Amino acid sequence: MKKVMVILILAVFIASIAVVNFMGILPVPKDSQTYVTSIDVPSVNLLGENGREIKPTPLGSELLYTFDFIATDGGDEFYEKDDENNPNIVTLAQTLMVFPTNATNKEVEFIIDRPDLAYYHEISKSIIFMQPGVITVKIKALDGHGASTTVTFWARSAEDQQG
Amino acid sequence: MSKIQKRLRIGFVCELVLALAALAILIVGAVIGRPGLVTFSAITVGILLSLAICFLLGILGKLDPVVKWFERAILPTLKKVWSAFRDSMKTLLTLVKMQLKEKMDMSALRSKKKFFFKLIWLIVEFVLITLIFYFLFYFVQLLGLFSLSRNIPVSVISILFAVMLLFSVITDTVGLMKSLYFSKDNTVLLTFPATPSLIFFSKLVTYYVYELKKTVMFLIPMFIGFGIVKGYGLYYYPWLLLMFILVSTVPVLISALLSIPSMFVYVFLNRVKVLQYILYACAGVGGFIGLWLLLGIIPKDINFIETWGETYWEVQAFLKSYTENFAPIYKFTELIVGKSVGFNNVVFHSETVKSLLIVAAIDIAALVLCFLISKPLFCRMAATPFEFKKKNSIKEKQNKVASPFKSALRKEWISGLRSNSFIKLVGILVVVMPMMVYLLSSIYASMKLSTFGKQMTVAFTVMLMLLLLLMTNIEIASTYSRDGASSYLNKVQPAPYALLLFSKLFFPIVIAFVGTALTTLIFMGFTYLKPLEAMLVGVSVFAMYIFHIFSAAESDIMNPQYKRYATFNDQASNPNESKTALLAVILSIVVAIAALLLSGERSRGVWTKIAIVTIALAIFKVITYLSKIKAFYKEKQ
Repeated sequence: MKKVMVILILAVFIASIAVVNFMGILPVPKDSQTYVTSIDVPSVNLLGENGREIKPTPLGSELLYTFDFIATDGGDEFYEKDDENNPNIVTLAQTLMVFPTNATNKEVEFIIDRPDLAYYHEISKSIIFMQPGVITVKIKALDGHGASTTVTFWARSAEDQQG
Repeated sequence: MSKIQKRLRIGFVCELVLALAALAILIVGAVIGRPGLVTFSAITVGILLSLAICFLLGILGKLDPVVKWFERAILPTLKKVWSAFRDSMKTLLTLVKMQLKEKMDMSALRSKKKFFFKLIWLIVEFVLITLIFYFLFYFVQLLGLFSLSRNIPVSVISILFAVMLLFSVITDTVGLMKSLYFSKDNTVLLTFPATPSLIFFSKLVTYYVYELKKTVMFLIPMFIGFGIVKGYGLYYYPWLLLMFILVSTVPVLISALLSIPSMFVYVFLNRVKVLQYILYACAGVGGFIGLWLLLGIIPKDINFIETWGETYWEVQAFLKSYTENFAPIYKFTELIVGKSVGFNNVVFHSETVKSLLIVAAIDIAALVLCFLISKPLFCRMAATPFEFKKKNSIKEKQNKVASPFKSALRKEWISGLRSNSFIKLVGILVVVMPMMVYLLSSIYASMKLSTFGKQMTVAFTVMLMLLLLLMTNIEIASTYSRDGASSYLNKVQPAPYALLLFSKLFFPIVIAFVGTALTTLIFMGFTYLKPLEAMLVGVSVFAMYIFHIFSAAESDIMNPQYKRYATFNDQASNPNESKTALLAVILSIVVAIAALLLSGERSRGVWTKIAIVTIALAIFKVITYLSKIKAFYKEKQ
């Protein structure tokens, strides 16, 4: 019973910090800026297949973009900075939409949950896959108001394609 | 057809059918690409086909010479071994039952009605804990705290599991050390018609059953909640039960091994008291240095929502470093919950059999080591008569006449110092509690809080103080019963019972008062409340402590557990302690919620009202405690 009490006390200590921080923070006063309210990605383009457009399929409340991963000739995975030989590049440069259209700061950042599988290329606004697998990308507005959207990509391996 | 021939034919058909079924599973596993399933079913097919071939050879009469040789040379020995094994198991069962009766509350087994209610209560408890974990994991998944794809990585539950295992190893090491080497019942157990090995093994099994009970009520609900949120298949749940039967052996066996060095350290520290006090002082200084270091790393402006982008990656880096640095425990968790592959949760994977074999090997190695190292030590310790252990170097002193209350206080003071219970109490209430409140208040101070946020800080501080204060009262719920066989002494002394019984509460109350006063002063330095209001918070908390300590003592008077402590001392599970712990949690939550809801900006004098109510409750409890001593104490056995 004492062990449970010690765990409970530690849990209350840690949880109280999180709860107070999430629910008790003083709201930042509003200013005259127009903030981003939503971000939309209706489709993406696959550069390796001459810019073929991929439409999403719903995955719960999110969107899933599926494409087949093209491996190297030797069947190995690609490495970072090996962009020239890697055909597994998904670009959002043409399709990414930020609302409202008159938002003061339309800059967004890309956060990839599996940096071991893919990375974001800043200049081309593309996601470059090094290995097949599932990655989730959070696209977040940089105006400080936290509007964001999450998209999931599934680069299917040879086995997934057969299955 | 002879009876044996019939049995052989039935056996052959059964083995063949089962082998075909396993083969079908193997083919399915190969088609859907599950290497774990393929390996497992291939092994099963191999074993079943080998058995089928044996049965076939038996039917064809090819095994007759082997059977005859077996009946002549092996069977008598096997029968002897089996009979010895059966007798040993019977004795083991009796020994375990006997020890469990002392260690766990088995009173429910005496009547069907009690057993039924106990079972219902256990099921309700299990479901409630599972629901709590389910909602916890559900919200973690919903908020995407650990994964952008709204998933809960295995590393998260692995960390929780590792913390629980660590706690289990620590508590089991202390418990097993006392049970194996210092328990009063060892000398009695050694007089039973059982081998010392069996008695030693019975101690381990008793602890294993106790560990299993704790696992069923905490770890299994946690893993079930995780499984429901992650959408595991139905086969996950029986697998989970099976795994925990195996998993629960690990902390017990590791603790049995660790109990040896712990015992030597314990004995040494008990002999050299100065070293013990130096160690306590070092722990206190270490705590202060730790607090100072923690205060140094608190950021100036904590805002998780604004900085979540960076915090998220710090969390990910932490999870990654955990999986790398604690790979064995991570693999251990993967053995239970499996792996996430793409969008699927795969319970049986390529490493399942390997991990299973490793865990089994660890168990066997630990058990063998226990028998080689712990058992001889256990036998030596248990066989040494305790009467000759003590060196009599007590100086004779002139007896000073004192009042009964003063004498009782003096006795409590001496026994408290000897058993280190005062040092532990001072450590928790006068050192840890103010330090925790200081750290928490410093963290709150680095947040820009709204009025509601400030109210929440008061509520959480009150809750933390109450949990720490009331936790120390759990032992008070057995303070009189711990006297065991000598408990009658209080009833024969020529002094009022209330004075003698209160003497056991006097020092804990004084220490709690000092701790509460110190913590309130720290709280006063940080809170938005006025000094008088902050002081009233302290008064309310202390009044709740008084209410709770007298409730705990009263429960021990009304339902004494003398017999329980006559043999096992502090290892017994006491229903009064469980009720006191539950009351501690409820009171802490209720007072914290009341503080949160009532302490709005507009509500004036709310802390005066709360203080009055809590003081009234404390006075009421003191009165009922005294009146119950008067009415029932003498008769209660």
